[in-house]
Amino acid sequence: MIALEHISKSFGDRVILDDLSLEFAQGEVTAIVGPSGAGKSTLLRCIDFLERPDSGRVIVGDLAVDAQTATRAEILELRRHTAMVFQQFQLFSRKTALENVAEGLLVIRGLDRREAEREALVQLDRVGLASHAKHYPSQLSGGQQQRVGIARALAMKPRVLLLDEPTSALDPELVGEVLQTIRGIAAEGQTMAIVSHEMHFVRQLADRVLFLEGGRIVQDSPPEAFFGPAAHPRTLAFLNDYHLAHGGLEYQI
Amino acid sequence: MDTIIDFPAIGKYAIDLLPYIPVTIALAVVATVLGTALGLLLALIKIAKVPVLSQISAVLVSYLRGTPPLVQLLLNVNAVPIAILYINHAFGTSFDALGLSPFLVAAFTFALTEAAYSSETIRAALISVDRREIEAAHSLGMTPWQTLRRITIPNATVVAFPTLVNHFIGMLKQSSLAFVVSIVEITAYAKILGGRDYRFFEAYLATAIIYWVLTVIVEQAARAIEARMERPRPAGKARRPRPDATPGSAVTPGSAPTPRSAVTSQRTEVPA
Repeated sequence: MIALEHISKSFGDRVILDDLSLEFAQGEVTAIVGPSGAGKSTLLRCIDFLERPDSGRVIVGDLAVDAQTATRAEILELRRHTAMVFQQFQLFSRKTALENVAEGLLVIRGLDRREAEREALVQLDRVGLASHAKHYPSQLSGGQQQRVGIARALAMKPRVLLLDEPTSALDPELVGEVLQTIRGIAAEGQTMAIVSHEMHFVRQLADRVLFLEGGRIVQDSPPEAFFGPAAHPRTLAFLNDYHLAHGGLEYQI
Repeated sequence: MDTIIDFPAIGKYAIDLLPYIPVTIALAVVATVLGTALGLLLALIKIAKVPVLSQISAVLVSYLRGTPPLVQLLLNVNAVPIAILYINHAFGTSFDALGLSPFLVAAFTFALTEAAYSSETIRAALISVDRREIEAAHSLGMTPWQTLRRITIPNATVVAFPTLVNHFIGMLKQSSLAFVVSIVEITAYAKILGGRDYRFFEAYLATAIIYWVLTVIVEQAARAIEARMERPRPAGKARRPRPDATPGSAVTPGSAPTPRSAVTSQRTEVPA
């Protein structure tokens, strides 16, 4: 079980997350959507303490990490059970695709080099990039880099996979391959939380949609309800904006 | 009749000097390796703003940069016996006051100088490492030390390496100062040879040639190592072609600053 209890986070006077509690069910895909600045990314980053919450607890299985009393060992343990896929990929630039994926296996999971590389190759194969194992990030397209990022995260066998706008930094023609990969991972039953602006994707894939605004969960529902006519008024306003953006400005980055 | 310049003597002196090259190289290598390690430590202390230690290291660096290495060497060579006598007096020990070899004193002195200069180079290199890679390492569950060892230092090494090689070349030459503490390396021996035959010019010319050759060898070796550290460059870092892009211009290393900063500013506009 992965749960957040009463998580709050402020940057200076600005409240980003306001006493937020939620639970991620095993094997479920939870999509987190909301306007820019709603706290979506911060929420995800608070789960593995890349951003340390001001207060509240994160619970992963038997491990409960309290923001106010967390030790370094607890935080490292927490990060071993969660894995992050970043908007900007954040691959290790001096390592090949294979070495990127093997890194956590070597250092964190303590495999020897041969085992780590064998396992890394398996993970690269899962994202369809076994043939690119020897490529450096600079030799891969953005979509391929992100798939390596996904393989690197999956290699840690995380209890929950956190994806922070995994396709937002990609050129439009590269978005599809990454979404396809995520879809495949979800089909294998991987628990994941994904922040995304790809509404069609969210609608198809998510078991549950959280609408976040002003650091609070405004609506928490299955996608049918979220995208249906009976949605929360704020949600409707957001989707309305969104569809406008879809027609006009979305890709003018 | 005496020749004005004894050309054969130059070659002869060069050969006579060969046995002293290892002394020069050993001094430079020990000083650079020790100095770089110490420089890394100073850089980490400064970056982490360790209380007390960072103030002490700031004063140390200021002293080391503010005094000539020759003076430091003379000072240390005299300070060490005094310190040993003082320790003997204070703690009732009986160390030999002249027991520490001049080579060690010189190597440590030069290592300290090297540490002072390299610490800034190393600090800049460490800071230049992409924060996002460090964050990715943290997200995998790596400890700060693992992250430093596996991600930050390897990335920073590439940045710092050419400057550190320069420091090493400087140290090869600076090691000649060691003759004042009666270490016989190439310069000191050239002086002895010159004094023996009154052929100082030929002896020093041979010395200069040896230093030059050593430096060229080091430069070539460094170039080979840099080539090995090289990683493929992005094929056109701009994913969207710039309107003014000419084929190949984006990948020319020398022309990097302008196009690359233009691209970066473009890419930072991606909404969060």
